[in-house]
Amino acid sequence: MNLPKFDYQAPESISDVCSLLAQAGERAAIMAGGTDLIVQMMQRTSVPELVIGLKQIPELQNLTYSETHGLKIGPMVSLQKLANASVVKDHFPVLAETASMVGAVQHQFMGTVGGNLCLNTRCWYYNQSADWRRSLIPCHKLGGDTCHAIKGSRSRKCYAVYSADVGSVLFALGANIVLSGSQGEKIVPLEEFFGGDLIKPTNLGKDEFITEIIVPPQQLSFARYYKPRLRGAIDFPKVGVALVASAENKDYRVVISAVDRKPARFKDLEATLSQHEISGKQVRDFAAEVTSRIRTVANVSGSPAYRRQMVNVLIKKAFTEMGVVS
Amino acid sequence: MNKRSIAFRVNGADYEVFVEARETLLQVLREKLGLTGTKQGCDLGDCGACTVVVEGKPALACLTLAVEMEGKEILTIEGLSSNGKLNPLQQAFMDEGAVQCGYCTPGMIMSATALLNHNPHPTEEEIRHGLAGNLCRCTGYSKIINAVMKAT
Repeated sequence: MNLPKFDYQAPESISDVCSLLAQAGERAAIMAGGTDLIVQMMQRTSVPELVIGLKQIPELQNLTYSETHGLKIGPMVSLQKLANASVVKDHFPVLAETASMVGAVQHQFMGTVGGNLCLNTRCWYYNQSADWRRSLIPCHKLGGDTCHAIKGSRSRKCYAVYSADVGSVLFALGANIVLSGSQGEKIVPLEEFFGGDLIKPTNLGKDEFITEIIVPPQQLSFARYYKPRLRGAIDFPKVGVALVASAENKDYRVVISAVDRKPARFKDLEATLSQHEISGKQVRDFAAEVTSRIRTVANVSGSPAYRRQMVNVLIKKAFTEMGVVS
Repeated sequence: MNKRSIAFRVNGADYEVFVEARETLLQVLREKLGLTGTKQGCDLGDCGACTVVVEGKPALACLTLAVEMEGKEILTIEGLSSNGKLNPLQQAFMDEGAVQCGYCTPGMIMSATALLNHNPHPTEEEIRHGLAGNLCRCTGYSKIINAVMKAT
């Protein structure tokens, strides 16, 4: 299969990337590891005129920890490095464990943390070859005005889901990212980064790219990510559930991936867990309420009913493994 | 969108080729260098048939742009044997009957090669993890795992 024609540049500095992005705008695509972008280009869901490779910029591969700033991850740090670096295992083992769940070994060596964060949303009707898609009218993500995952009347909403494992855990950890662009540099909480419009998972500007990911230092009593998938060897999650907790501070953060176009978190429900000593009933009620707010449709592997049920099961499992309820 | 020249080493030999930006490493290996041992499977990074070793690490050649290979050291299945003699991993695949149709075999062996680069004495579980990105539709995997175990 041939890729579409494009030009390729590999700048050696962040400012050169910014200049290229300022000139090319939406005609350009940033390529980190390429494991997502090249597949999209093969399938013609992304057809950039210019691909900007980031592999020639050493500072994007830094990985450091300090008590003051926390863990600083360059966006070009590979998932394999994140999974194996002692600085990650020592301070945020959940990140190392989660990175080792992404794709297969080859994807972990090639794929990067920045690329995982910027993973496009996925859907059975979108992640297909151009020939396959030709039999259907364009959906929202392809510039149309329908969603094929919803039968009957046309849906005004796109139901493609954000499936990034590391991205969802970084969100649960309250990470911030540094965005560089023609307007300079700014630090953005992931909470603001995720959102996007109808079809995008993020608010990344057309002339911006991620130059650092910062996980603030924090005392956690428990942090784990659960990922049921069709084949344990390689697949995207049917759903993902992250629990990041500080029992001492009664701080419980639960993030669900692969159910919405961004990682889903329900702070008002989390607050109910923080008011009293946590009990089994509270956890069951919390899991049931989170599940009731999620809408899954038949657009990734796993039936919608199964995926919703797994959200409920995995939230309860997480709190049980944390040891606060039995 | 002009072609550009890239220089790299493949199986210990230096090459210089002219490539378009859109050409993948898989296309260059197979169509420009004639190294057809590396197989084209899904072309989407799912099956692992195109796995090669770049700078000691496993890489999916179908998702690797050739232009990013400037100066790199690449190992393919053709680079393992010497003087007509199979290397221990290849020989173990033969001895254990770990090959049926053979299409996935080069990718399997290159993933195993990369694994043994980092971990010369892996456990069975580590081998299963290291080869999990390589799909085989005929053997059922057991003989492949046995072969890698035998070669360590």
